[in-house]
Amino acid sequence: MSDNESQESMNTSSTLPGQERYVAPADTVKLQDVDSIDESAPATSMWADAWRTLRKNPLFIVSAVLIVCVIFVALFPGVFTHQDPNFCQLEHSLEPSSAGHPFGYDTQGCDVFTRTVYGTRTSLSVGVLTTILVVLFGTLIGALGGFFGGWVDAVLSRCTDIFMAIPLLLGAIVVLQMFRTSGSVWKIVLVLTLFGWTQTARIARGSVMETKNLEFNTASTALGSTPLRNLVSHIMPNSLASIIVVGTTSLGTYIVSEATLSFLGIGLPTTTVSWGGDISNAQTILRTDPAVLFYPSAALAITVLAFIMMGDAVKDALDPKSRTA
Amino acid sequence: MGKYLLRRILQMIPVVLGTTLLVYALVFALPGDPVKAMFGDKPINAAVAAQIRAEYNLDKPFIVQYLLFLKNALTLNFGNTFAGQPVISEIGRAFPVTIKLALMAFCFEAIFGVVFGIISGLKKGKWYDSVILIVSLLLISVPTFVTGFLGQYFLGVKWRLLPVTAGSDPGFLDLLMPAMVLGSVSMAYIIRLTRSEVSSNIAEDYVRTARAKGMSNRSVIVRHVLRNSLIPVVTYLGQDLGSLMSGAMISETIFNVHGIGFLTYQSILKGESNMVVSIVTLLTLIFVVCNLLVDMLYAALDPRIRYA
Amino acid sequence: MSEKNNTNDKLLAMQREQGPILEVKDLKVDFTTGDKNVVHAVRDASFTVYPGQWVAIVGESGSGKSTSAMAVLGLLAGTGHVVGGSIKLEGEEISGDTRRQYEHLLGDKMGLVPQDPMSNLNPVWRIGSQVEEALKANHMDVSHEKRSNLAKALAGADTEPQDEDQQADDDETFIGSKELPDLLEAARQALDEAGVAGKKAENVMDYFTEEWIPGSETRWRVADDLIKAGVAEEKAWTIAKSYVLGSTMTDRVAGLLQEAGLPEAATRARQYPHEFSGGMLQRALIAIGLACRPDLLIADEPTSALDVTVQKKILDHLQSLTNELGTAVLFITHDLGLAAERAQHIVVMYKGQVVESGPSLEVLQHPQHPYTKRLVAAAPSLASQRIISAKEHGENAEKLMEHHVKGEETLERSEHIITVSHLTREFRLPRRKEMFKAVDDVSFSVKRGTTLAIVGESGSGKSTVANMVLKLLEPTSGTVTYEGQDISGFKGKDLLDFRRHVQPVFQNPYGSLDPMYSIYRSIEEPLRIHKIGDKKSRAKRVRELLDLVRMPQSVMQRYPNELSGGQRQRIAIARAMALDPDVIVCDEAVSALDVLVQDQVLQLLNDLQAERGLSYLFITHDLAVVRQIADEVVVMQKGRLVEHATTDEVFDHPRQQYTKDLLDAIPGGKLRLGLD
Repeated sequence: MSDNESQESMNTSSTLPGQERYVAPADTVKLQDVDSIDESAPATSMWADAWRTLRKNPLFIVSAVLIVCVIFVALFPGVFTHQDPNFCQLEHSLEPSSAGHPFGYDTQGCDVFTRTVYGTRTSLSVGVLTTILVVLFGTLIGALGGFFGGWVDAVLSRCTDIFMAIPLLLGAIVVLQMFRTSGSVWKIVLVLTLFGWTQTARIARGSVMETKNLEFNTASTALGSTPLRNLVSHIMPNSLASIIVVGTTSLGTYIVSEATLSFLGIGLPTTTVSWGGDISNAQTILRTDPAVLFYPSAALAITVLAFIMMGDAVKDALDPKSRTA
Repeated sequence: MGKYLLRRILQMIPVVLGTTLLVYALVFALPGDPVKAMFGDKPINAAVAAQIRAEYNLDKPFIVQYLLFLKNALTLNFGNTFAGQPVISEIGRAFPVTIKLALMAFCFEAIFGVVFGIISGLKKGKWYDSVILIVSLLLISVPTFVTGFLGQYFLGVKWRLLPVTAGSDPGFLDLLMPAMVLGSVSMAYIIRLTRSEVSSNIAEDYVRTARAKGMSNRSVIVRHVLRNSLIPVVTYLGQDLGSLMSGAMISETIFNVHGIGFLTYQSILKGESNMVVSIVTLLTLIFVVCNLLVDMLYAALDPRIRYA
Repeated sequence: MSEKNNTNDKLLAMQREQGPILEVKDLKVDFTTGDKNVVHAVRDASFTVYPGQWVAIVGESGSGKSTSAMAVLGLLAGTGHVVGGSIKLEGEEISGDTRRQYEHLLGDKMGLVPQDPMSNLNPVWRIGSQVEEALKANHMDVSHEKRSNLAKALAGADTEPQDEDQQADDDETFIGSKELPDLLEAARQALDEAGVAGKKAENVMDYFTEEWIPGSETRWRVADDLIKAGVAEEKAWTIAKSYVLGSTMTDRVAGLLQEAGLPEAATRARQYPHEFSGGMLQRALIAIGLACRPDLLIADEPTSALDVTVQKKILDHLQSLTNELGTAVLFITHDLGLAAERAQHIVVMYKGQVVESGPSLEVLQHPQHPYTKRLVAAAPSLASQRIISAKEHGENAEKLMEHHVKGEETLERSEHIITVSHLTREFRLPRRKEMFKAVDDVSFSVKRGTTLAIVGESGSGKSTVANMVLKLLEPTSGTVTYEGQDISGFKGKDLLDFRRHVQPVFQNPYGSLDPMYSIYRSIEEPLRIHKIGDKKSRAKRVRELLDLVRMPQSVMQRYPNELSGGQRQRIAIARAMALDPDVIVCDEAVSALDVLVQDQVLQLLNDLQAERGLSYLFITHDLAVVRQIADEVVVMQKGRLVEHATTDEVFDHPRQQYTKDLLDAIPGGKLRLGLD
């Protein structure tokens, strides 16, 4: 008590300069209601929020335009060229560009422009199909492991480790050397899926495990919800963002993988038009006619770049850290 | 630490077994006849085919085949090539070259990746940050073989700075361009990883606390930002060392470096399944061992793991 | 008392003479957001700190209190920058200083004890080396104590002026761990010679062993102790001078940690942050902040992440340390009671502006600005102190209580809606053989229409009890009954029925609502799960519920990330109310909220109880809040129930020491509050 009394007694006499009693005039600081709601701002869901961030990101705009173009070329190659990509005449071999053949001819006398246009479909379908399969399969495995935990998780995790230990390219080579003659893109898609799902599975597992422990799931259970309902209506939607991010980014790498395999001669045979195959064919004449190699390479690089940039932009927009939680 | 290591090694055993089983199964048990694949486009000689089947135990039940393969693999006995050479001696000849190439690529990507990543992360938003970012994006998007051709064309043919191809007994200069090409994609990833680590670590509370101690900016960055950013970067580098070996295939093919990748490629072209399986098994093992090393390194770098 | 007044006067005179150590005038700090918008985080804030003084800045989150402090330290985060006003340290303007200039000020002129102990130490370095960094960065002499200007001035006034500065410095030489055994031996001999023997000598030696900490205690202290123990003055000084020869870096680091209240500091210094508890980490941070003996220490909510009893211990310790060293402290806190208890001068901030400042008690007893008035009225620690002092004065405290506590007879007569008996829950710890008992034989019952609060610190098992009552966790043994039925047997329809009647409101307002769900969907979820009504009737019900928690209907389309913590907590209450439950289990439901918001939510809970006869099981670590809501209190410690009584009984006649400690730790306990 004595302490306080002495302090009290000093208050009036002992105030130091700069520490006098100060009260702000009530009108300079507007006192708001406790915890009032700002009703003026527009309501936004996570997706709307992400979309707003995306729209302002130049990376997204550039990549979106490129991707739309690439998709259009892949769907309607006929709009851009009337030639058959496999129509080659040896007499045109290595002719430079001319009217109607802006990129010139390759060694076999095929029109480089036409082949580049038609190659789009191969690359894109490999990329898109692989991504879809990888995301479906990887998410399934990862979500099951993360959700059930225990021995289910242990077994699935070890399986993931095993597949992860085999480098994508090597695994693909081992399998593909046996199916060298098949011209279907599906063999590439399946092989890439076989060795590519592990990354998605890991991310899905981590995300599900993280979301599973959040309080809204416990709250839901206490409201009477079942674990399975929680998985479907809370856990999966909340894990979706990270899965979308990894999916978008890896789409580009699958396109590269296909091209690499075709380049090594164990991907698609030359009868299927693909950028990788064409680049491979052009390497022998690199010193004399670099242009033949340039066009499919550029098309490949631009496509991949577009998807990787898109992945970056989506990641920025959906990154939970950047959101005001 | 000891317990942690032991646990990791024990966890590695099923992975190694599973991986070799998987590789073996993919080659010898998938629909599609491996013997037929060995003949490639040539007509199949029934007698030779039967001999091959016996040699590779393909006439026995699958699990027995695998166990025999495993036993042979453990003794480094991978059989012979078509030409009668022991597979292991072919591999032994090519291996040092690839190791040299991979190490050069590793140094290249580690040094440049980390340095550019740090610069970029510390000076986020500056023009050179943007340049570094765009270059790394391009390196990731352009496939390695295209980077290789571009390098060959400009550095080799046009400007004549570096040898275009390496040949069978390559020296440092011969391997410089292949190593740069091999390391380029990983370098780009390391730049991005380092950048994001540095820029997120710099905002950590303990960095502010360190500044509040009155430490110089330099020691704050080195001791608190870089030291912590290093952990994931070193992890990535370690894992990459394993995959550089397998990734060397493209670089070696383009630059005619007679290493493991080149050997694999030639074996694929010649249909030497035995050689391919052997190499893949070896590289996978190297990959798994590298991952174990990474785990150890990780534990050494991060005290939170050490005692977990 | 007169002696005390004397020192106080002397201190005051000294402060007046030396002038303020920190003078902030019209400080303006802006942040630039991503959309190039400017947020004025601090607007025209002014405050002054004198040497040796504790000054508190009080405000809720977003008031700009931490930002002001960081601006002083030149450590504003991200895009923040000082755009106006002046910051003067010892009379010199520092607001325009470069980072390099600040490096010279930080550490030895100004120190920081940050808020969150978990994130403020680098996980990859040993604790000791993080203390060492601070000493090295400022080239501290680790073998001698450095005294603050104020301490020097005060000491100088007490004793005769020293002939040589050197002489005075030498007295400040630390004990070194190398010489310690010899020192103790010499001390024992000296005691022998002085004729101190037997039990008494043992006691004195024990005292020396405990107190003479290498790297912390100095030569004059050793001499002083020896003289007090009966050793001749000359002999004492000879021993002190020949055996106290200065400490090494390791000694000094351990000494600093020990000073900050860390036991076995030498061993602890070699450990990593993840091996420390929150309280220990905070002590390490205090050691770092004070390592270079700064004249000004900025303590940014140094204990808000810790348990109340630990908080009190640490603050007591910090206060005695800073008093001893003559360090001025700028103390940032959200708790008005705490501020008034610790500081002589209070600055109240609201929305980036200083709304009121002045001597602590004066502000507290006669708040003048409407915001301060609101704050004083809402602070639970103050409210509970007010009730205590009203009772002491024999006044009617009833009108001060927001929650009308039911008398013992009413409680006796009420029907038990939830009964917990001999509840035990064990967990298996990773890599350990023995089981850990999180909850150990706990029994109590919640009476219909009343509130039972479970109070305990982290690790007391209170949340585990809540989860078992909610049947989110199965007990190892013991039972929970709801309306006389054992809930362990509930399955399918029974379970769904039970869920309908017993609802939770969880602690973390940021985690308990699914960020992907709109507010409408969140509140509607229980109706959907229980298949109640059609779309139209559900929409109507959601609107009613929003009215009930006093939220505008326009929030229905919004998402949780757009709402504040208190708003989310009200939504969580609306969701819990959707099924018209009988019991609501609030697990730290208001702990994360600002004082005013907390008060608002508590009022809402009280009103709902009055209107609908709800029963609450209220889990909290904060005894002060209990007064505002509970009828009965259960105090838990380390899994066991230590005290169970009515709220009045617990507050007026606590029986267990632990309960007394908890009560004692309510900030503002030493204050005497007016009732206006």
